[in-house]
Amino acid sequence: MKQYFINLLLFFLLIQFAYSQTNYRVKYELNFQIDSTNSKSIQNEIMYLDIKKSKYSYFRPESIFLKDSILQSNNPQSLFSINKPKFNYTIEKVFNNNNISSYYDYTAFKFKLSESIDFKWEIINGSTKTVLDYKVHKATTSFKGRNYTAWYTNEISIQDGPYKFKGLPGLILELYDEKNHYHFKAFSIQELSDNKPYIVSEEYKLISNKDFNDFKERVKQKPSLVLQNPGIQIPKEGMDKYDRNHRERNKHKNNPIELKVNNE
Amino acid sequence: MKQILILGFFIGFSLCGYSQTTISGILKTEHAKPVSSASVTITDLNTDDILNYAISDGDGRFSISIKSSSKELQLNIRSMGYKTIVKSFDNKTQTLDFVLQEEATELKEVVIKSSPISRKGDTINYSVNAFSKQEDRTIADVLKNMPGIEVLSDGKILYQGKPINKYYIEGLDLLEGKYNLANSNLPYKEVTKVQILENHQPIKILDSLVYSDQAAINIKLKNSYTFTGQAKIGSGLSPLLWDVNLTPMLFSKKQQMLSSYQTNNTGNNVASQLKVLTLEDLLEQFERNDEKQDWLAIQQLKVPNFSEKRWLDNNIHLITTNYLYKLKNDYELRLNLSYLNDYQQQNGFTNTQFFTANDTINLFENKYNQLYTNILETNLTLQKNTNKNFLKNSLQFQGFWDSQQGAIQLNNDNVKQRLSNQYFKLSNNLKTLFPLGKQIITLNSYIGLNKTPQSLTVNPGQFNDLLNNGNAFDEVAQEIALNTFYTNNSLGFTKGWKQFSISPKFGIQFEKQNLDSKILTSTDATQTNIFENNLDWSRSKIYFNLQTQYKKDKWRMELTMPLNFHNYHLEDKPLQKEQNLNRFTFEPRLSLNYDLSNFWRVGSSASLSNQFGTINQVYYNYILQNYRNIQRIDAPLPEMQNISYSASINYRNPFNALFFSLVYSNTTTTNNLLYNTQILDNGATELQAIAQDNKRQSHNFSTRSSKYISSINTNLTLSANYSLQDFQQILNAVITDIANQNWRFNGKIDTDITDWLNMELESIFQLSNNKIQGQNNQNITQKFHKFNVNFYPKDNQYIGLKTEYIKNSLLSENKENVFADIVYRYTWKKKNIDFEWQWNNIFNTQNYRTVSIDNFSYLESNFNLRPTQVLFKVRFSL
Repeated sequence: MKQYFINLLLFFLLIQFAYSQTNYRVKYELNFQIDSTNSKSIQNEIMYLDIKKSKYSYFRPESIFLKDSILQSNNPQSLFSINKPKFNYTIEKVFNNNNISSYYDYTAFKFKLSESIDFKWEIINGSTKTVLDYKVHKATTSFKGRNYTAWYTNEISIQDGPYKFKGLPGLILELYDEKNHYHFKAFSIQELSDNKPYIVSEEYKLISNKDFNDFKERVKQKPSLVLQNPGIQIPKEGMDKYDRNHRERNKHKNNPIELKVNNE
Repeated sequence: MKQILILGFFIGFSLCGYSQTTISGILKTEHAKPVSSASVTITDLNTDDILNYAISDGDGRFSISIKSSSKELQLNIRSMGYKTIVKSFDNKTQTLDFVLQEEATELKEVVIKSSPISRKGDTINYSVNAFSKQEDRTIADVLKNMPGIEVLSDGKILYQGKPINKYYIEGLDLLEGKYNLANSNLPYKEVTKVQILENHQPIKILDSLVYSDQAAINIKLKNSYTFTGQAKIGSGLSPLLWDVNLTPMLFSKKQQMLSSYQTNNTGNNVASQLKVLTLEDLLEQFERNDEKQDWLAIQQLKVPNFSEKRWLDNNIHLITTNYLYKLKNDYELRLNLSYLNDYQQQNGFTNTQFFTANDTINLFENKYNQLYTNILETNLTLQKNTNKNFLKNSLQFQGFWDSQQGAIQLNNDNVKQRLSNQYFKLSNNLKTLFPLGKQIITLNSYIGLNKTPQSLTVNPGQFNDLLNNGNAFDEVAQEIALNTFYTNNSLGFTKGWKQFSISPKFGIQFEKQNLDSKILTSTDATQTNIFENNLDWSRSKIYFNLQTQYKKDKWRMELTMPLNFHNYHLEDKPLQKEQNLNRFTFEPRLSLNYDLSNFWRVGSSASLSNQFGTINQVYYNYILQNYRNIQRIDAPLPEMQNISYSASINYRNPFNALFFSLVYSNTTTTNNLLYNTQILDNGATELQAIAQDNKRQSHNFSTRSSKYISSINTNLTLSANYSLQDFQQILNAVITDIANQNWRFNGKIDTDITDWLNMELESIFQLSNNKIQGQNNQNITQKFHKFNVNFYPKDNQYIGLKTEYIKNSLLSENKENVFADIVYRYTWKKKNIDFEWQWNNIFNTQNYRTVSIDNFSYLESNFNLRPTQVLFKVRFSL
């Protein structure tokens, strides 16, 4: 019994040691208003922030994580059991510098964008509250056309946060813009045993911001463009239906998180 | 204390800007390694109020400027995995280096259990009464009122914004993806409760392995049974046309039924609905080779190569029923039953030109064919879906009581043909998934029995020389009976390892067949046994297939390496003919893909494969296949080896919407037999096989490009195909080189003029040419133009105008055909009723003439089309 107890103790010590190198997953619930003119058009999505050994992190919708992990597993047929992600990006942040890579997956087309963002945070002293049992402090910044309020905790000294946001002296647990069109709030922090990145970055083509915006503009005009895949021929009627459905949907999609191309 | 703090704050604030100090330093571990990504904050003493902060860089450096009048400040260093340092210092520019002590950082793991979306494994019950309103009619209407549930216009149900993955009625999944049929027809008054099953994984054995974040809906019924359905009724002229589709359904707690009765004479071949197959099913069917195959035939009329709704003269009745019954211990029994009855008529003539090495023979036939189809299909499926295993067993029966009659006017003679082409099949297919260690093993087992009793009677008797010593006779009849037993069993799994994924599969196939055939004549003069076959055939194959996939960087590789052992044994005892064949084959296939740059991708593949003959390619005595074709194939079993290569280039630039591809493929087939086709004076042919190695080469080139021009909302597509086939054939005892060439050019313009109007224009030009011994025969050309306009004046209205122009070059003249159709559809949304008006073949084009090339003949056919017709259809709920 004693031996058992010592073993258990040793085991915990080992775990503690490993802890310093651990990966974490922070889950955020994102509520966003898809149509800026309709305050009832609130949708939600669960987002994962996977932090790898305090070196880099991946931020993406849960459904993209599931899709990517299923695609690399032995049961690709279970793809049909997950829903379509509402966002198609994965954001990679390296902690040592300001470089942020965004991976966009349009199934037939996969793009990588690279940018350098130096967030100018203003610390608002004196405002605190509690999120997820952590004491959080207030800070504000502006990013690509929106003014944001962030709540971070210095109890977790990982200078990361949802979406592209980072650079506060602690983890951001809640973040929203002044119109509350995008509102991220953490609801779970867990240790992560599985540390596979699941993103095959070689599959993504590095393109410029301008090219990417051109692409998005074209897809808006002709949504069926993303179905252009060699070897797959879709009949005209199917393409038409896709175009009509997506144009209809796009009418109500007028509120992207990045309102401006540049951060002014 | 507090007062002092406030005072300090005040002084700090008012004096701000008077002094700026910079604190910098390096953070290192006890082993003198830099500590990066540490939060370094400077606060007022003993507070959380941050004056400024920095994050240490890759070398562990930090530098912070502060403006504060305080004499003393506090420096805090926090980093994951290190002990937090808190140190007070004098407010003056200085360098402060620190050594951080490693320490396990204990992070509180927190999960909010009550997060609305992360709840797991829960079942939520909604009482239907609480959510129904007066105007609601169906369960779909009530679902819309329930929180968290959305019903889209196409019937798709979303829960928390995500589509549901299953729609159960009393826990049973009868309709699978077609749940809208039940949802929009089931009156809500029949339903007591709607249950939401969150995080539902439909295949239970995968439940622990594959996470699902989708929900399923289960409908609880009030009564022990509920009856509902849908109907579509249409009628038109001329002649009197009908098109009816009735779909009643019944649901209860233990059993459910969905049936359908469809009948029409409008040329809509609803029989195709019976063939709902997945790709996997199709591949299996190809291996089994047990689809209905007709050995004998009446002389066919070649059907036109466009939409069968223009030419199919049918009178079809189709009854299908799906029945599901829930058994004990998680077993489900499902019965699918269908009966099809069809009467088709074909009218027209053909003009066939046979080439021989030194002559051509012309044959003109006027044909009237009547085809009677009677098919019964049943499928009994037992399924068990539990946490431990997945099992699906299907017992299937197919019966074809088909017959055909053909009348031919040949010059001034009349030929009558009567065919009975029956076929019966009984089969059992078992599929099971079970875990073995960490793997999930898939076991497949198939057993099938089939029977092909067929007969053909021709009046007057044909092949007088062969069958009746040169004298005319009244009637000839061919009888045939083929019995087959087939089984295929395999075991396989998939394993991933680094960049590789490996799927081994092991299996055994066995086939036993018996062929009995006999030619009978009205004179009974030639009763020697040269017109009888009694062939026993057995075939077995043991196979091991290793499929390897490799993915890295810009490379994709797939290699399959099947090892097969084949054994064939054929014996005709009365004829004392026998042959044996044992072959060990290795049939590798390799494909490689490489991404050259952002837009270019190249790919190539190479494969080696073997094919062996089937029982209808070896029989020692004559069989009369149709009134002018009698053949025997007294030859070794055909053996073919295919070597194929292909290469492709792809360009995809989505920024300027330009797409381009080029594919080349080449196949060389080495065949051990050459077929000798003898064309007799009366146009009859005789086929014999001669053992002589020969090669067939085929080349294929295709290219396609498309460009979207956004300024005019137009998509432009151009494509071209070229194919060449080179082979040898014996024509009237002479070995002849034959080359067939085909060209095809296609251009297409799609324009979205506005949101509610789009146009499509397509043109195709085809050219075929046939060369015998270096001599060119006549070219065959076809021009095809299509112009469609789709018009959506309102959400619930659609007008379509379709026109087609086809110009064919015939043997002696050119023929033009013009077709036009109009469709108008109106949806009465409130009552959910669709109305549709159709006017087909407005120009009343009566017949269609084409020419086609055969290996050794040109065939010109004239097919009588459906006349102009007007149809009106209504679709509503029962």
